[in-house]
Amino acid sequence: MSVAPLTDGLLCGWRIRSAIALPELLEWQGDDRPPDLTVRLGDVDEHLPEGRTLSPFLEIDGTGTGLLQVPEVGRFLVRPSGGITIAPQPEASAAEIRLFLLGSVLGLVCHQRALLPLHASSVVIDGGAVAFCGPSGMGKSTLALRFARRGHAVVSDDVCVLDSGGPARVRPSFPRLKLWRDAIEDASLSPEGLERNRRGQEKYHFLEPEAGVRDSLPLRAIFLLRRPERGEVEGIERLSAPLDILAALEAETFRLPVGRALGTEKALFQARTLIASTVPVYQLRRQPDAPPERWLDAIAAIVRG
Amino acid sequence: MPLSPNSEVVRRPHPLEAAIGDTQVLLDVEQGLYFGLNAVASSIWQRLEQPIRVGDLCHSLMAEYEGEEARIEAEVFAFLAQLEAQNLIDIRA
Repeated sequence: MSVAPLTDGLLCGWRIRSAIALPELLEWQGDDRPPDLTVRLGDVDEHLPEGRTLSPFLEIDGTGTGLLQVPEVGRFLVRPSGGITIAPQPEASAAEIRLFLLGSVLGLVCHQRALLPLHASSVVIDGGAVAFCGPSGMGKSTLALRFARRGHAVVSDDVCVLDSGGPARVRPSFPRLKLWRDAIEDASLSPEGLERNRRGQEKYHFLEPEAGVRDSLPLRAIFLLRRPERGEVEGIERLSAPLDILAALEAETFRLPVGRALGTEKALFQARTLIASTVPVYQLRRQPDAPPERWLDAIAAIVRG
Repeated sequence: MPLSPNSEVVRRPHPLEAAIGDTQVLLDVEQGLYFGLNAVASSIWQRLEQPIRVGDLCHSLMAEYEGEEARIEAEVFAFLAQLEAQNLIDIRA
């Protein structure tokens, strides 16, 4: 692993300076501000001195500092100031370290800044971000890939970050999609030469560096990917009941308990209610293994109104 | 606590609130529960910001909404009982 100076990257509008290469990110081309986030390699203690345990892998202390421990990958100390220290395990792959840095750690950084992170892949349609949420395996990244292959920019894969204040806008993450081998091959692509998501896993990091987005953009629509319940047909339906929309947005909040522990409920509530009152939220019911192609036109048509 | 026209009712502190369309949405952060109030319910909710006697509450609603006194009272009592059951208000004798 290199510790030579690397070019600063752009992550959700932040300038990030990192001791490890982050090929997912677009290069920083903004002003000469000091980095908002700084990633270093170093020792990290096993526990936070005054830490509260939120899960077997996560502690938060009273200052808002978080410690994430990922077995066989490493420890990540995340300070609210934006200082991030990584103590990798010797066996960890570079892709694995980046997976957690740009996933769980990014979610923690959002909660520290009272921004709403949705668990969503998102692409640009008609000048705005369209987010796909849903349980793992429902095809969020696959849909994003299909749109990317049609020339749509990729806004986020795992963590879709909402800006604070109104109207609802998304801060683009980076144009990387995590895809299973089938999804790659079904799109007539090959996983050859792609980095594996985890060691031994048939999931790969697919980069669309040409398809990245720099500036924040309006959130145009959210599609919740669902499996049809017994007796339901496949299709797209707009949610209308405010409480249903809020419950769905809460369920799709990335690492929700972290926001609670950091006391950002009010900001998250405001972000969710802003979305519920201004952004259409749809349920897209489809079998997860059904070809995604037939939905692309329908989704684009709905977004374009 | 049993409700009577002489009971005083008041909101419990700090649920988060927002309007989504015609619905007033409350989030009780402690319980992690969302509540949706329709137009009439939220007009009652607005009146509970300061402690108010149930009888006065009913009278102020009668001035705004048409309906028999007995029916409005019954609906207000039922709604207040729901709010209390959800820990959203305090009732004082």
